[in-house]
Amino acid sequence: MADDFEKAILFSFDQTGRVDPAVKAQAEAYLAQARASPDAWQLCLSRFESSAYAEVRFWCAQTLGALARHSHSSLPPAACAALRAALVAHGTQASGGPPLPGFLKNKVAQAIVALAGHEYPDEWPTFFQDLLGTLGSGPPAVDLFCRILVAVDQDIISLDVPRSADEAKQSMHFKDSMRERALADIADAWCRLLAAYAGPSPETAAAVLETVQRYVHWIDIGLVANDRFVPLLFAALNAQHEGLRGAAADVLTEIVSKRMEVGAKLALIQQLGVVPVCARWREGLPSVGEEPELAVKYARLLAALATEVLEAWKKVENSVLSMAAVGLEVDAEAASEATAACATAGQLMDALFPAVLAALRAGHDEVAAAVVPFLLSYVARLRALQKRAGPDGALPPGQAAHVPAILGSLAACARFPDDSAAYEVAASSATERVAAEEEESAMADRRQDLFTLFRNAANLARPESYRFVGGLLTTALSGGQAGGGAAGGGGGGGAAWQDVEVAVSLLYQLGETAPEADMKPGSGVLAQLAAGVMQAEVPAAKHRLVALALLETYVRYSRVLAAAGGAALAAVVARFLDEHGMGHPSEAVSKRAAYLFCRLAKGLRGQLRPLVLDILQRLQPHLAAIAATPAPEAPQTKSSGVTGGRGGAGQGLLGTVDDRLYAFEAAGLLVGQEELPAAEQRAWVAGLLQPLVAQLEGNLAAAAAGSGAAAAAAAAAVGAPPPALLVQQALEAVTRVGKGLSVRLCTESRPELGALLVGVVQAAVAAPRTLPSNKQLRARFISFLHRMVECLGATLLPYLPAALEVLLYAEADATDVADVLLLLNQLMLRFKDALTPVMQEMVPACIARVHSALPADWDWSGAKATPAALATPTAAAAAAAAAANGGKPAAAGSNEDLRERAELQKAYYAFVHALVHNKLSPVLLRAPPGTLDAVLGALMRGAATHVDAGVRKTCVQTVERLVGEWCAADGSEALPGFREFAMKQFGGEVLLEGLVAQGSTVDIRDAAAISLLTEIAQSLQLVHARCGEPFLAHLCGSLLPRLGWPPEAAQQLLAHITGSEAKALKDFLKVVLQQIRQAQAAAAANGR
Amino acid sequence: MALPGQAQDPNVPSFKLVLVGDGGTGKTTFVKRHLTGEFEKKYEPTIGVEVHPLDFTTNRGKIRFYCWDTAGQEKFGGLRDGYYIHGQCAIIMFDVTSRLTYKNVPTWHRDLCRVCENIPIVLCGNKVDVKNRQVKPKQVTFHRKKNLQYHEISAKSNYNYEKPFLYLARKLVGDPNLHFVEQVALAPPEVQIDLQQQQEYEKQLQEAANMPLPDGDDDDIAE
Repeated sequence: MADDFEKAILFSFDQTGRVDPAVKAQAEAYLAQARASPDAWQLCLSRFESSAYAEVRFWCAQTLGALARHSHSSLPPAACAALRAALVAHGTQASGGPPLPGFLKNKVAQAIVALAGHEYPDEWPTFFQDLLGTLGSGPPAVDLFCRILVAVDQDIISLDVPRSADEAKQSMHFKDSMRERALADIADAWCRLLAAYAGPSPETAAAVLETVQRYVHWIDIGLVANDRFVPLLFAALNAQHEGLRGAAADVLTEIVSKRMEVGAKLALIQQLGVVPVCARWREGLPSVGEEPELAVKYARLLAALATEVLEAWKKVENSVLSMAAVGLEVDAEAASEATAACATAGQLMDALFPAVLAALRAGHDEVAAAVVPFLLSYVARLRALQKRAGPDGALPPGQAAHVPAILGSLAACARFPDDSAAYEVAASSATERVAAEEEESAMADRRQDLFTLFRNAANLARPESYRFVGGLLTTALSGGQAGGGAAGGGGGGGAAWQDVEVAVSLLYQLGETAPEADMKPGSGVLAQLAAGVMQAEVPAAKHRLVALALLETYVRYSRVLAAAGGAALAAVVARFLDEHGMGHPSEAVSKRAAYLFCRLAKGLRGQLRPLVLDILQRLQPHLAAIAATPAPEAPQTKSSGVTGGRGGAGQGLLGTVDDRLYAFEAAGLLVGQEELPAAEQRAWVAGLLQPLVAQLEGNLAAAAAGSGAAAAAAAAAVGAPPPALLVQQALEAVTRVGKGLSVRLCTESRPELGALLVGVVQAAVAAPRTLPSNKQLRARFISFLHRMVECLGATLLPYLPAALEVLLYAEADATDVADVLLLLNQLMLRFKDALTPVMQEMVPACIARVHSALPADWDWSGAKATPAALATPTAAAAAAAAAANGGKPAAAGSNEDLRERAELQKAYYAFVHALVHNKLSPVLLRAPPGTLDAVLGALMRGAATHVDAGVRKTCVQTVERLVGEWCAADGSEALPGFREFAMKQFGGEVLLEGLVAQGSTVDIRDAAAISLLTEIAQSLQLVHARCGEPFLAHLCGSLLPRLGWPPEAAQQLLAHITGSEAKALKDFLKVVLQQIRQAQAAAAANGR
Repeated sequence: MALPGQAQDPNVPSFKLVLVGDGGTGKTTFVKRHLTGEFEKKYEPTIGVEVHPLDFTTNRGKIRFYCWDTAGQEKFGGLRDGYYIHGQCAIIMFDVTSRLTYKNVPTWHRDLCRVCENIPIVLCGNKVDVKNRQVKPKQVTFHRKKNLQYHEISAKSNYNYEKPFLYLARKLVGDPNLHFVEQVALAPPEVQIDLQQQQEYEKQLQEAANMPLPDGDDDDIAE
């Protein structure tokens, strides 16, 4: 039965919730008290001994450790002595009893080390010797000894764990003491223990080696690299027990990696005799199949060894080179030493190299990954050697010999395994699909480095690399003739798809970095290889991965295709269009094929011209299928998915662009060539557009028949995509086709094509008219209009008002209106005053819509819609809600609504600015009454009060332009009263009063504010130039006295307006503004 | 190990998962993504420990992790490593926007391994959705020294949510081909991760895997 103390501990450990929180709190308070009492150590010691509960014993050991660590000074010396003896006795289980669980043994070891941390070497000089003395008593004592050495490393020495300055000092002192007093004995014990336990208890021997591995990097290397320990280590490396073998490999890795001077390192490596052992792995790393974790350790040892040899070699060479470079004599002795060292390193490297390549070929990711960094630096070194040898330099023969071997091993490592999980066309089950996805994504990761290495190695010896890949291709492709093209499964007489895939992918990689001459069709070696692949009947060509590799390679070597022309070109094009490409049952292949075919069409437009009819016929079914199956709307939320992977997170974001639509772009590029016969061309373009228009109109009817949602639901019920999506897909498809139709073609050389597009525009206007609130559809329609502007130029103008009015539908919200304004800005920039008729219609409508969205009580200063004002939790929530709604209009009055309307205000100013700066201001003069007043009112408020100096400047600039145009220097004005307005309201109230007003936010430390001041200075001078004396009289007689300006200041201002450069006036305004701000601040301080 | 009110199904293999890491790294957020409960924006230091049963459905049936969400902050942690006793697997979490939390990973790892010897452990760098990250993939090397699995995650956007559990499940069941067959019900992502940025990080991580580990702690030349 547990007593109260034990119960308290058990209660505090409870996580089931069965213990009343009050009781638990009581228990914890009781324990805190026990911990604080002076005889806590006695209590813990005795309970550790006597309790039957692991939790209780854990708590006791933990508390003892904490006491020793943090309250050591308060423990009486007798207590320390008693604790040392008792803990060691418990840890070694001197009194027998059932073995302690590992976590209790660790706790005891930690408590002992906590004591030793304070007491060694001064108060407890025999710490290590005391422990060594217990080793005779058997495995539990050895176990404790190992755990203590680990805890010494973890708690005192290792710098992995962040330590304070004092702790670092303690750590140094502890290490020095160990070097002086204990390490020799400890190393001796390592030997004895390894010898004694390797046979009977390999786990114990492995634990011993684990401690050795922790100490190697800072102890005298002679303590382990000696005639006594090394043979034991190699015996362990060959032991039966895997754990022991792995531990021995780890120790060797540490020894090999220890930092030392070059000569000593090479000597150590030779003395160890580890190179011949590793060299034997050239036939394959041991244990890769059965015990991959062990094989990884071997591979790490091998990589460490090879890296150290390479580094030593480089260092010796570099030291000789750099001495020669600075003109120092290399004396004969040093030179011969260096030569000897290089020779040694060379021999060691030659011995190790085949084993490194064997690791690469081992077919295990982590094993291969262990040696890749070494190979990267090895190839870099070969490159440096080659450079050093001069422009046509060759590698030393010994090293050049390694290159083909490297290429071969890389190819083997980059090949999908024979038992690959990758399915041929479609996965038969989720399990198969997941396994294939994981394998393919792991392969893609692995190949990143392998292909980099491959390209670098190929650059060292291009002819060899071409021969090598040529050989792979010959084997892979000839396998097809022997075994028949359909043999995709691997094995049997035909080439396996894995061989074809890797050979083709490597050909692609060679093309990435090849010099011009090698890529030249006809004579270039690579070009010949590529031509071979293009003409071949490729085995397993329908396998997903082979098909993808082939398509990529065709495009990579499209120059070869272009040169070949004729039947060869036709055959490859056919593969893009048939079941090897866009007709492939796997969506990954068909989608990629559409994209790649578009790239091919772009590059080889002219060469493909004779094939257009044929291509269009083959393309037609694909186009119809793509048009009829729009990608479902991107889900708003998506977790990482069952398989995770980057694809999972990516689909939600990137999936919105449907790569299949590139097929339409390709079709457009092909039919949009001026060289085609006119009649046929018109028929082809019409053939592309007609079905799309029909789809658009047909589905609009369906969407209109039932309102959007009902129609979508009806469509979903029969498994068809919603009509609105089909409309969007058709619009997008037309847009893509349009990319191939240039404005010259549509308006000058073949206006009949332009007429076809105009027909589509007229039909398409119905889409936003029918489904006005569908935001995605609007966006698609706007991008469609942009494309039509590119295709039709000014021809489009007569049709624009209808399209634009539709976008300004009755329920258009602030964002919708802002979108239209933005579109108009772009149109104005392009067409200037040619747009006058359009704008004459659109401006009044737009301005009316803006002012209904921004009513009279709207805060034109923008102060309530600044990011700071909106950055409240509710604003964030509203933004999140808006995002989650998929862009539904924000609730009126919400922060999101405020922000949208503030954006509209800015778009409005940009719109008017564009209007007056593109020769369209007469439109305002001719607008219905009220329009101009509204515009000017909004501009004045913006110019005088807006918090954003940039926005203010836009407004000032706009009015300035109007003053320049409408107030002639001869005293006439474009409309009655405008001169008066320019002087009093613009020149006086806005430019000056607005600038200096109390609460104005113009901050002269802001660069945008300086640019605003410059604008104001120019405007003031312009108003004066156009209005003359009356303006100055207004300032002096009325405005400035009202603002309380002293007469001298007023005079200065007038002098600057009339006689200075704008820059001087700006500087003056800046100084005035500074003074006024200071005065205002002082007044505010006094008033408080 | 069933919690009150939960009948433990003997047919569902269950494992104690210990979740550790500095305070504020997102441990509680992470476990709560799995539950129906709303994601807590506010940071409340976990008091002691909370246990959450997290179920996943694999191709071999259901599996349950009893996830012990331990206190990150020393002063709240009643028993500290006492909670690790009988842990069968673990996740060590740090925050890629805070260097200190990564610096403390070795301490968490040490304390964990002393109580739970030889258990599968996943290191998770959380908050990769935040633009201004402080711990770059290249700097994350600890897992390679200790043979841990490493995943970059974003609890807020659910990015890679299942990866750590999948790794642990495979190790615990001993089937490297095990996979999850049902989408786990997660709270909807609160932020969208910048995928391009993340792919760039993944690339860096891959490159980092090929860099030599930083030099050891001790500069001693062989004596």
